[in-house]
Amino acid sequence: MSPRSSFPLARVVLQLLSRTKLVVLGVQEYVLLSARGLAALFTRPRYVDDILAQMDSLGVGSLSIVILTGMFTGMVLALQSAASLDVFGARPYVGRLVCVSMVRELGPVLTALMVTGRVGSGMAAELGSMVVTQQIDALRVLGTDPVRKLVAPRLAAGIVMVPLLTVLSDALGIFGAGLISIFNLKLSWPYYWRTVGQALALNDLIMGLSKPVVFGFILASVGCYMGLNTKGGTQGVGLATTRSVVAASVMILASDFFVTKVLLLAFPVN
Amino acid sequence: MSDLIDKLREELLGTGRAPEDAPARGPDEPIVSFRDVYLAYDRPILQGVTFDLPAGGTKVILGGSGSGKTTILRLMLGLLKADAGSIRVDGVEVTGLTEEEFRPVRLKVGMVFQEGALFDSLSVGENVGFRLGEDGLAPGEIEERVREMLGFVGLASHYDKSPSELSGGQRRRVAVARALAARPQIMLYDEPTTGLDPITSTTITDLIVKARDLDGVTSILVTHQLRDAFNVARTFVAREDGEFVFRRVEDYELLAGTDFMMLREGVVQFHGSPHELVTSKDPYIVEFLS
Repeated sequence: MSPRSSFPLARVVLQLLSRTKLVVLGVQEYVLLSARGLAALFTRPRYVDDILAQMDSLGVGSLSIVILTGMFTGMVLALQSAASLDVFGARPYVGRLVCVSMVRELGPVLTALMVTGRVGSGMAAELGSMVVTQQIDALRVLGTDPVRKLVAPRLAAGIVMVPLLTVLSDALGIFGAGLISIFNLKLSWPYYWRTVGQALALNDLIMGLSKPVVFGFILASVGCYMGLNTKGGTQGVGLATTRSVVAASVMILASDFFVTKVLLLAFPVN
Repeated sequence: MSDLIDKLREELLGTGRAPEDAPARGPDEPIVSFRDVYLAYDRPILQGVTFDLPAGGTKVILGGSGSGKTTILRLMLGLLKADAGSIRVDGVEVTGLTEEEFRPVRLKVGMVFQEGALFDSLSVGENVGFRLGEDGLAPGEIEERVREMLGFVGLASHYDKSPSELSGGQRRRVAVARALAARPQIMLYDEPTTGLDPITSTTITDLIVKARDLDGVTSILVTHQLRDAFNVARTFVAREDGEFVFRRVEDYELLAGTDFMMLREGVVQFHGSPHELVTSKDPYIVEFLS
């Protein structure tokens, strides 16, 4: 009699080992795909047209959601922080607080999450559909490397466009908070902008621009990985799309902690 | 440590082995050769498959669903890796090649996928000219060649259409044109007539015959449609006064140049001429043909 049927504990351990092996294999494949995608950006041939098309799709296509997200986040942040600061009679510090919060944390994270929802899922769905309709196989048979043609342009778009969208989101968030400060909190426009200017330091900018690079890479690489590993027809495409949004969102939030930790060590706040 | 670095470099950037390094095929060597090829996942897929295909020949691979027919084509193109055995394509042992090293082999082979596998985001013309663009041909040359190929498959007026505007049969014909555009030495057809009506199927098999007889392309046709398999075996085409003239041979004993191979659960159940196939007493083959 085999241990599989004799000992339930052994069966559980075997299943656990098997699942762990699959997870480790998945991580290895993800790392390899990301590394090959990055390497393809620095070697020929490069698909410049595809890179520009992806930048347009990811960057220009996400403008509306990033503008709305950034603006309303800044506005609500101003309202909430004013309520708390009023307890200490510190309402004039609203600009300072909103600015630092948007640039260091909320701008990068919210922009990345919004773009993940819109574009990361789209990448997984598009590549997943190409897998199930054998278009990826057709690409390979036609002598084209799918990583070079499909993954590298998406990675480039994520790495370049997410920081730009974040800058826009930060600016609109701070602007939105300024509107609330003037019309709702009765602060003066010049004073608000002066506190904003005083709040921003070099390490804020470094942190605010480093994170979106990492987040952009994560959302694109996860979307591509999930899409290219789609199995099981159209149902699999749906599953890959969901998985890509969930996995990329969790990875963005988790990496946010580690990037913040590293950057705080490298560029301590005075 | 240096081995590890070399392996990583090979994985990321390819080994850079030039296609010219590949050994040339001998004059009598078959253009495709399988020797004791095995593949298994949770069950055996191929079990000791062995066959040869001479240059210019045609092999029809028959078999039921899941018998391993398509797997043979995928192994030839490196879309799957064999567990054991040897696969040679135009004199090159392909079983150990990396993705980068496979490119020169793939450039000699054209494949028509079951549903066509056209790129949805490109027009019909762009699909057909895709590989030519990758090879760096000038746009004018590409357009000329694409229009020629679309004329060959009878879809010259569909140049600017999107694949979604085409019928199932038209998609397969565009797929044939795309595969033939770069003038491959070998054409692989993976169930190209599945789901098509008999008349459209004949259009596709006539294209296979045209590629074989007019361009001398070596062909492997995977199908479970007996009618189409025999159509390819007994149809011949010639160009007479600028017209394509098709002739069909009814006597199987006279057919030469087309081999039939039948797979059953990954094992070669039959290998021989059309005449040997139709006169076989093997109960499985008799049932399959009935």
